[in-house]
Amino acid sequence: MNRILNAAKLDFYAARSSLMLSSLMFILAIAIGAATKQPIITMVLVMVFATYLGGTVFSTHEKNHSDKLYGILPLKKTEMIVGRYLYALVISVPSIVIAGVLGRAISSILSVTIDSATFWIALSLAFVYYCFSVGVSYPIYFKFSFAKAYIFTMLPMYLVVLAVMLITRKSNYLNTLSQFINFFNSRTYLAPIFGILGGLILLAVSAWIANLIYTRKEI
Amino acid sequence: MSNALEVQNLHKTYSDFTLDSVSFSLPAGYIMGFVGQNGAGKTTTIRCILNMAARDGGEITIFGLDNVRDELAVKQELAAVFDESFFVESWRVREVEKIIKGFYSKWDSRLYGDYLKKFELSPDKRVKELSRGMKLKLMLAVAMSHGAKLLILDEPTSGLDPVARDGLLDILREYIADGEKSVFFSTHITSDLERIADYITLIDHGRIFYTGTKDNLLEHFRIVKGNKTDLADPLKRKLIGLSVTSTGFTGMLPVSEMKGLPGSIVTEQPAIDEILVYISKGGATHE
Repeated sequence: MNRILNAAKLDFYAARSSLMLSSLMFILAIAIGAATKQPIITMVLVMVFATYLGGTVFSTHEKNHSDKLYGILPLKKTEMIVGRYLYALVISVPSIVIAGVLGRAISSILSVTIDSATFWIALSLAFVYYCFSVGVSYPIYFKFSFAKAYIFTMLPMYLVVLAVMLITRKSNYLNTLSQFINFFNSRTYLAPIFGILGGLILLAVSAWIANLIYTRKEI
Repeated sequence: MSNALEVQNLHKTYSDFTLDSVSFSLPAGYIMGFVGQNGAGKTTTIRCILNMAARDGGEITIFGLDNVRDELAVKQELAAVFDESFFVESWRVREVEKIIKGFYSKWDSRLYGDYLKKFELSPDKRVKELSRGMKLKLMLAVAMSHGAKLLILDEPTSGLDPVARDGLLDILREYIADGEKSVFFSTHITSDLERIADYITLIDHGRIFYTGTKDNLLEHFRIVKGNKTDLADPLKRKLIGLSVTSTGFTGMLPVSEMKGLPGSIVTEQPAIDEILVYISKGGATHE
């Protein structure tokens, strides 16, 4: 366990300079959410940008020949992979808190009402999206490297975001999701539970696949 | 005498290259130079030793432990330095310790601090601000601060100026001074090995050409030069790296094969790089 924590710590330090840039991305998320008067877009975008931060750790390691460092450290490949997913999970926590705070702040400043169920559902879906994105991209990065796979792994994500933005602009997506929201309306506490569970399952499946890929790969 | 590193019949096949029955051993307390031209298999061998590449056959033991089965225990006891830094460029020298020390049970912070002072590495400098030589020293400081008993260096001196190379050799001499630590040093700059290595392993096209003491290597071969008329067929078959010109020939011959040579043939003791040049032209295994 200690080695996994050390691996996650190594990833955090490796990606730290990229994490500093996250504030700029969050400003962009605020601007888009404010311009569209949709605080939920800000919340989702914060998590979209967080997936980028989750991926840049691969880029940093590749640029700095970290494969050699991993080659000499007393660390199993599986532990390194679990550490990488732990790192992804750790950076999702402040991101989801920031997403929530910004969503509330924008709704308050722009006087856009978001009921509690919608807020928690949006936050939970944003977290699930983050886990989905990490879950898709990490095994691909482990297989092909960040430099080769970045465009291909992020493209579907950008398309999803674009589709969501178009849908939310052209129709009242809250109505289309009314049944969904109604279910959670009287059970608000379930949204984060489902979100966390769903996200963790996605990450666990992805980590298992990444482990299959990476333990057979020469570093 | 126990071995720090033992490689037996190592096989590794890629589509365009094969390591074929690579065997050698490094006794504890000594420095072994691992020499070969570019693409001979030095780095592949080191990658197999570090379990960065999976071997297809053979056995690698480090202080008697299998390098794959006992990987975690083995990696507590060894350190490796490469020709390029593997630390993230934005890290400060001080932070390197903070990030790495948790992995090692015998990490000694005082020793790391001592090495930083000795190598004149400022703790506040970022890795990207260090010269190539200073990055090498940082890797050495980390390698030597966790009690590693086997230090593996893969082409560490390539790209270093003569002063920095000389400094590295001094560090290695001090490192093995207690008689318990060993160094496995891959390079194609053979002048470094003439000065520091106790043992030499020569690899050529994925096969070991020679492994043994440096002195024995230098005593083992002779460069022979003569007129074309001296170049009889039996001699031609024995010569390693034969080169014939309009005026004569030159090649390398094991000392054991020198009986009965014509008196007109001139013989010289080769330097390591000359041996490397001759075997690169073609030769047989001599262990």
